[in-house]
Amino acid sequence: MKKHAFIASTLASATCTLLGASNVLAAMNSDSLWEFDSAFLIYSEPDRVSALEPTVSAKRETTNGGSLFFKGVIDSLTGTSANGAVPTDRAKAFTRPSGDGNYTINTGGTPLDDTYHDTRLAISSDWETPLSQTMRLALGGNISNEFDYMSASASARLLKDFNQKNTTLSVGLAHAEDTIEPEGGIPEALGLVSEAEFDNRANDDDNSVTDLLFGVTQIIDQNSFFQVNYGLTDSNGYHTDPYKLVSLVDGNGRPFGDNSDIPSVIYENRPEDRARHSLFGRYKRKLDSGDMLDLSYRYSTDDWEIDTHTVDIKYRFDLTGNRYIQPHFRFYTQSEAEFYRPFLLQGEGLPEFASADYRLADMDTFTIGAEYGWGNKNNPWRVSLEYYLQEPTEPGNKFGELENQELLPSVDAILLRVNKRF
Amino acid sequence: MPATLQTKPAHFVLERHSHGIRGRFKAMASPCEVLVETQDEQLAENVVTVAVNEALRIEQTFCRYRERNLIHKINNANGEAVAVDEELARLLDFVDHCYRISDGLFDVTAGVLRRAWRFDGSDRLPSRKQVKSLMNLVGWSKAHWRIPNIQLQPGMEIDLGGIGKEYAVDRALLLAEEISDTPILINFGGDLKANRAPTRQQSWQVGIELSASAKPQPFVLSLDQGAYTTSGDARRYLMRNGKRYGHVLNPRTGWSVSQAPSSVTVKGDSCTETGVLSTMAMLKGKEAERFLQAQGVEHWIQR
Repeated sequence: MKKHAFIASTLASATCTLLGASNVLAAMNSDSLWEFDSAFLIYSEPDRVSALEPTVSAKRETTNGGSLFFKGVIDSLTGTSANGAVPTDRAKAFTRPSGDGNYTINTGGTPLDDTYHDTRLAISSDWETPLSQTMRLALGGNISNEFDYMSASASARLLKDFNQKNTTLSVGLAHAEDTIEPEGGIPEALGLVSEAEFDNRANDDDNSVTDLLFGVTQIIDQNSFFQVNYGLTDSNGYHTDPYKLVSLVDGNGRPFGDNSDIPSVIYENRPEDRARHSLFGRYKRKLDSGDMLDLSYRYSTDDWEIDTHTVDIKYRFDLTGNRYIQPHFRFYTQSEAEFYRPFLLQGEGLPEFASADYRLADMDTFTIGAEYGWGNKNNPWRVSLEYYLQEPTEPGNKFGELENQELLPSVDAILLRVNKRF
Repeated sequence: MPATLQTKPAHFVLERHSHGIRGRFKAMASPCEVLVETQDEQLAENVVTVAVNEALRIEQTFCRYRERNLIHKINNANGEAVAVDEELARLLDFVDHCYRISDGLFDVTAGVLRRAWRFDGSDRLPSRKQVKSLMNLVGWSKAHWRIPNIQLQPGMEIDLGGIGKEYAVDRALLLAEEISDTPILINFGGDLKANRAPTRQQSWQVGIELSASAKPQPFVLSLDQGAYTTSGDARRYLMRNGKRYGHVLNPRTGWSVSQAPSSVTVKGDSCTETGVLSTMAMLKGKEAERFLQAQGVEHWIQR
């Protein structure tokens, strides 16, 4: 009887070489080098802002194992935005931000600036290249332009793999320079809104932002990973929103001077320095059923005394035939800025900084929605619909006529996003 | 009787099937089918289309009967070296490896022996002299293969038919899996592979016609996942003086292997791999069982 050599394992590895290699080969031959992604977002706050935002991005893998990425976004905003002034029981007129004429707010209405419109164009690029078997470098650049705002930034990120690529440490540095050139110029900080004030305005101001980021990504097993990031953002310059106002109210809680229908309002003013620390943790897991769980939490605190907590939960149900549905829930809460003032009192000394912008108030926001995806790897579609509710906390120090008014009504919005890769 | 959904211009038929949707077509001289566990006709059509295209591409690229492909060029180079593309280079590396680990039993140059052997059920055996002269043209070791050039002796031929269909099944399934992760089974003329077990039924039920016995009978194979290949064709033989000469030829002697099984089926991870093992088992003749046992693979042998 003959003894037969064991050849099955060497045959198996030769087959792997044959099929594995030919697969890569076919992928190289059949796929185009660039992968494009397009998205269209509609954001709508009923009676307030609406935005249309088309996005196109392109990515390609470079021959050395790195990648190149470009992205372009056009944002088109129209509608009205709360100007910060308090509502009251008489109709009142506001000077437009340009100084060119007035708009009138009827009794009891939240004062909304009806000239809110903007188009933003942003272009960004990112280039990642391996430096060694375990080290990668990513360099990025971004330019964003609006009619009253211009921002340019550059970033660098170094990633190092450890532990057979199961652990990745990253360190990043980014710097942005912004210029703001508001319609009508830079208003006088805490200056009384009047047509005369427009004569003394500077044209523009600027702001610079530096970010430092440290991150750890740990692969737990084949189906899950955990990520922790710490970020420090230091921002210095003009942070004031030139279109936001603060009302000066009298002893009856009304924002008028003597028998005038011109409200007594001043321009807001914010500190020039802001430093923020943030901590982010994320856990993502693919379950045996093919479903996917994605949990994240973010905490941030800054020297304006705004502390935030964000919890984000996504669960992706894997449906048959390459389809999925992914419900999404997000909760966000923030404490108010130390200089947040829903209104100021006439006749009292002005503080150094004050803003009535509801985005700096005590606030909770809720996002609930779902994304539906279908199509194969080469032809995927995604559509998501989300409801977004911002619920600021009504100030507790209201008095007189202010008690009859809702200073910070809830703002809700619908977001519809369509995404297609090709 | 399954309801036919449509006949596609790419020459396949899509029909409803107990597993979902089935695409049927002919390629590599065999009936082929692709089972896709879905009710989504568009998805099924996409999956079947890549499988059909890949089968036809491999047939055109590697079939020795087609003119204007590299195999034809190599076989008609008259002793000159021919540079090959990357995919054929990988395949030649693979057959080179198989030749060495099989001690010369797996040999893609053995096809010329067909000039002497015609398995038509008659008693017309070739003469010793005829076989001996053809053996000058048989033997992978006589070929010079060094990437990217292959050089054969004048008159020699290579034939990748021994692994072409199996390779096509593996390739087609790889491409199909890029489109969808739904359960898919690909069956090219009895060489079949499933990416995973079906979810709606316990296992795939595939009717295959095993031509293992002289009277072919439909045979239902039940499998979950993995690759199955079968070698053997009991209808092709010669009979002389009561002795049966099966169609399996030993490339080292040029003669029909005695006591070869009538069919060998091997289960494994890929058809390319199990195809080589089932072919080798046939060539081992009466040692087929012991050979496959030594490999530790699941197998079924009919004699």
